Amino acid sequence: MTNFKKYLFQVTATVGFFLFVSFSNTFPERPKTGFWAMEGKLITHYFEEKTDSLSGPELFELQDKNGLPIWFGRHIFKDVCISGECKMIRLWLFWDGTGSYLGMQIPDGEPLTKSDHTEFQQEDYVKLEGILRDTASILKALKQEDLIIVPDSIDPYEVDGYTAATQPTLAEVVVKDAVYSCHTLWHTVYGPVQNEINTVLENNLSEKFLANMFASQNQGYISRAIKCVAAHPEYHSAFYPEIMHLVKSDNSALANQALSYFRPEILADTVIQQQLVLVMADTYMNMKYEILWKFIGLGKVNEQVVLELLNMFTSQEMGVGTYNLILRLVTPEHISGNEQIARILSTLSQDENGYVRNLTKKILNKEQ
Amino acid sequence: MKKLAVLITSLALHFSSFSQSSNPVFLETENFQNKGGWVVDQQFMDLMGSSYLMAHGMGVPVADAETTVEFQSTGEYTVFVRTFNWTSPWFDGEGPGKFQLVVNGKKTKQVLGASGSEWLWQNAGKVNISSTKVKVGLHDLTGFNGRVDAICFTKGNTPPPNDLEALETFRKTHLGISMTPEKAGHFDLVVVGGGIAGTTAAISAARLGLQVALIQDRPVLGGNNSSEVRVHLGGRINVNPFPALGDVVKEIGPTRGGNAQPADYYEDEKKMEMVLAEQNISLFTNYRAFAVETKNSRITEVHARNIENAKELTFSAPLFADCTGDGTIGFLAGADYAMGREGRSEFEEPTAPEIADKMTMGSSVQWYSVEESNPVAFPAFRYGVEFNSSNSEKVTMGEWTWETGMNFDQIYDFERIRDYGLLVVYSNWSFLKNFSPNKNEYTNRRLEWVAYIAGKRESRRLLGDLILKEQDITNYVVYPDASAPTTWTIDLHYPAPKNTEHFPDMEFKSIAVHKKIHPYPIPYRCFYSRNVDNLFMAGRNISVTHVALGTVRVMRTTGMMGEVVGMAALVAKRNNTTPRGVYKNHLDELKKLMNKGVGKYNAENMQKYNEGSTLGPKE
Ligand SMILES: Cc1cc2nc3c(=O)[nH]c(=O)nc-3n(C[C@H](O)[C@H](O)[C@H](O)COP(=O)(O)OP(=O)(O)OC[C@H]3O[C@@H](n4cnc5c(N)ncnc54)[C@H](O)[C@@H]3O)c2cc1C
Repeated sequence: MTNFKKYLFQVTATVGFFLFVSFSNTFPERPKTGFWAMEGKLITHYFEEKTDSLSGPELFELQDKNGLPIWFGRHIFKDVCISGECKMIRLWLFWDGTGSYLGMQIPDGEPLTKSDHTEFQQEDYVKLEGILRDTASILKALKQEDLIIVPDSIDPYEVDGYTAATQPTLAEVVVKDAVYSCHTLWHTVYGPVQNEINTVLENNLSEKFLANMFASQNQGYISRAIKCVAAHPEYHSAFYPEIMHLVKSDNSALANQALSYFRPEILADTVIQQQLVLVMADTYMNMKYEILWKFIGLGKVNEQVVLELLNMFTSQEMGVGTYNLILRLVTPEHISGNEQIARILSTLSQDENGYVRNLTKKILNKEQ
Repeated sequence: MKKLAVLITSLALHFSSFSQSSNPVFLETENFQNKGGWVVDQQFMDLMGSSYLMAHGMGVPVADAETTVEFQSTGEYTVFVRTFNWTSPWFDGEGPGKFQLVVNGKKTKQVLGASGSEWLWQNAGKVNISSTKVKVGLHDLTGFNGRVDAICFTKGNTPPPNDLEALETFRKTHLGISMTPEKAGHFDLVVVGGGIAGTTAAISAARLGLQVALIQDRPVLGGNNSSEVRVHLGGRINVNPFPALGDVVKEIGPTRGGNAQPADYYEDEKKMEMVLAEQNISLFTNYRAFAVETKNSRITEVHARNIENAKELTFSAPLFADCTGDGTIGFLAGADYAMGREGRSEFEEPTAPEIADKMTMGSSVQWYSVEESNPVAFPAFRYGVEFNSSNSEKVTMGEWTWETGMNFDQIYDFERIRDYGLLVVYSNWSFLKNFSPNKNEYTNRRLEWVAYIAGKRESRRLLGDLILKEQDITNYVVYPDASAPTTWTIDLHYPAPKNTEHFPDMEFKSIAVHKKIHPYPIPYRCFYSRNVDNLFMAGRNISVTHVALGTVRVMRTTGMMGEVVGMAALVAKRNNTTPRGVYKNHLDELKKLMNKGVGKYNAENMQKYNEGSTLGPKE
């Protein structure tokens, strides 16, 4: 296998779909392998992009049988210019169904080249891949003309254009001798095409689409679905139980995202508060604390929440470290208005653990 | 008779309404009954003689402070106020800390706080006192840290003395404070400084049955980890060779991380209640230790003064622990100490500079802003440090990297260091809000919190029987008295080069240079003084070189040092020996205790944030 082919294989493998299919309509530069070999329904969206007119007007979308996007793809045919001298690059770029960069595919026989006209090697593609995945790349803030201080003709590894101690230098970030290509491609990945994908996804939004996203088992889709519901309150009542359920997820990133969906405006609903406190029993310790902090951020919670938390504390489902935090939620109204809360606190004010006893006494005295 | 005098004095102080026996009438502002929005600042007591009130309004004038005073006679008085212009080191003109005195509801004409380059008595004019009960107030005009130590009404024209010793006598005489302090009691161990190290030392010793006094010069515990400074805990606990060390840190440590976050992150109440739950601890908050008595290279007593009512107490014990961070107790007792960077030849440390110098890591005034729904104004603030588009920091908060005073003395220049921290925060913010091309982005932002208790990283390091150095750690030289493990990188701070370009010798931003280490057990000999026989130390003032301080100073580590010191105090008491005696003859006893730990509540480990990276366990 050539270096280049090996690389292609690697990129394709990251997608995780390996079903082969062929498309009836043929596009001149469309390869028959990799992303293009995946099974699904191909949809063509058209969009005009003045700065990128040579690439063509199509944005392709491959959908699975549930109508969820497998990928979005676009043929890129662009010039990369250095001090007035331009060369064309041609490749396919792919985004996933959430608009995140997914991969690239290089047409056979047209490898990317560097400023010294040598071809990209496999390690260069790997590096480029890393650059394009980095949503917060240093390239983001740089304009084409800013790159002039690290021209491809000078070894960027020797020229440190960006000496800020906290920023990685440009030289460390780019593919050697291909700084302009890296810059152009990064801004292509995170440019108008991505916006267009978001528009397409936004237009597709429906209860069914969201339900499919939540059911997809794909972390990226589920994460996007949570974001969509957050941005479209009209879907809140249909999907918040789903999101609440995700707070219990083993995937901590997803669980945290699900929890952060419950913003103070949403948690103002005391029914939701009570549902959330019940979720705690099935979560890991860290998440229990996160939920507790969430309630603290809310300032005032329903008495049932306080009662439930105190019960969890007395039954040792929550450890001693949570007690001062639970007490932050207790108000005079909770104590005077809820006998059970008053009773539990009264018992805890006699607890053999001096720390718990003192804290409780203090809160009871304060409330008098 | 003596008892009665003490009682009368303490009653007078307790009600904090001064009953002045004769002309002049002298008021300590920190003892005002109603402090309004003014804060008590004790940080520089040792430098300028007293704690003081400060109008820390972050640009918004604070509410008046007020107190009622009994005068013996009516008539015309000249008023002297001890204050100064805190921006004077950087700016020649009028300073921003302006305030007025209010006497019986009437503001005096003089605007104070805007002049003077050091703490001085300033003439605030004359007032007519027509009845003997007088209301005295402080009216802040700017919210920019005007400060007042004391006020003196006199029928003569002479201000009180400014020389510290003479002023001290004057204060005591006119406040009716006894020249001999009251006894707080006799303890097994007196711990001075209630940061994480002092708090764990006290808890550890108390749980092992010792009677402990814990003296802390703020109303809250935790030091840099309190809501007053807001630094999160760093480092690892419960690691080899003594996995039980860290159990107390686990109990008192806040459950979520983050520097310069809202106050409730730091769970002050948890630390406080954990201490109060220990019956063997007598806690003295708001007391600052300022003197010691020694006999034959032992400390016999520590003297501490209340930061509000100036009441003085003495604490006696066979053992003391210096957890002040500044090594103040050791210093007062004549303990050997180091400060600044050792030269390379001293310990052959690869990271040490060729030639020794006085540089230390700096102190931080952390801050943050919040977004409001409406525009919020901030006054133009220009007092000698100019900010513009190219040198300003376009940020909405400042945490550890806002670090200053590396080339100043972290003890003797500390007020100036803290003030420079305030100055740059305000000046930069003023630029962003009023003059920056991007000022629109800041229209609705409001300064929510700026620390006035500066976070310190380094000052005196008291020297023990062993001075831990870089190679001990990097070459993993484990000593027989290996104890609390240090796990953080060797993390040394320097002025940020970009900041130096813009503000040469006046930097306020830093960078950290890290060197990874394997978790390394610090020798117990670093935890007691080599020449003050009954003095332990825990915290950043232990016996290490500047380079080694780079790793040991983080607070989960200093907390474990405290646990070990508490245990060693028990061993010393049980065997009637010194801290050194514990090392020489009873190390096995100490090891047994370190194996067992002093955890009490089986708390869950919520200390997984900011653990830092290590090279992993050393085989
Ligand atoms: C901005 C900043 C960021 C940092 N980042 C981290 C981090 O992420 N993680 C980490 O673990 N560490 C961090 N550090 C370092 C750490 O906070 C310090 O090393 C800390 O001082 C160590 O704790 P300590 O108990 O020794 O001292 P301190 O926290 O300074 O506590 C000493 C206490 O003693 C009191 N005291 C002092 N003198 C007297 C006296 N004479 N009488 C009575 N009381 C007195 C003080 O008020 C204070 O409360 C940081 C420090 C700063 C400033």
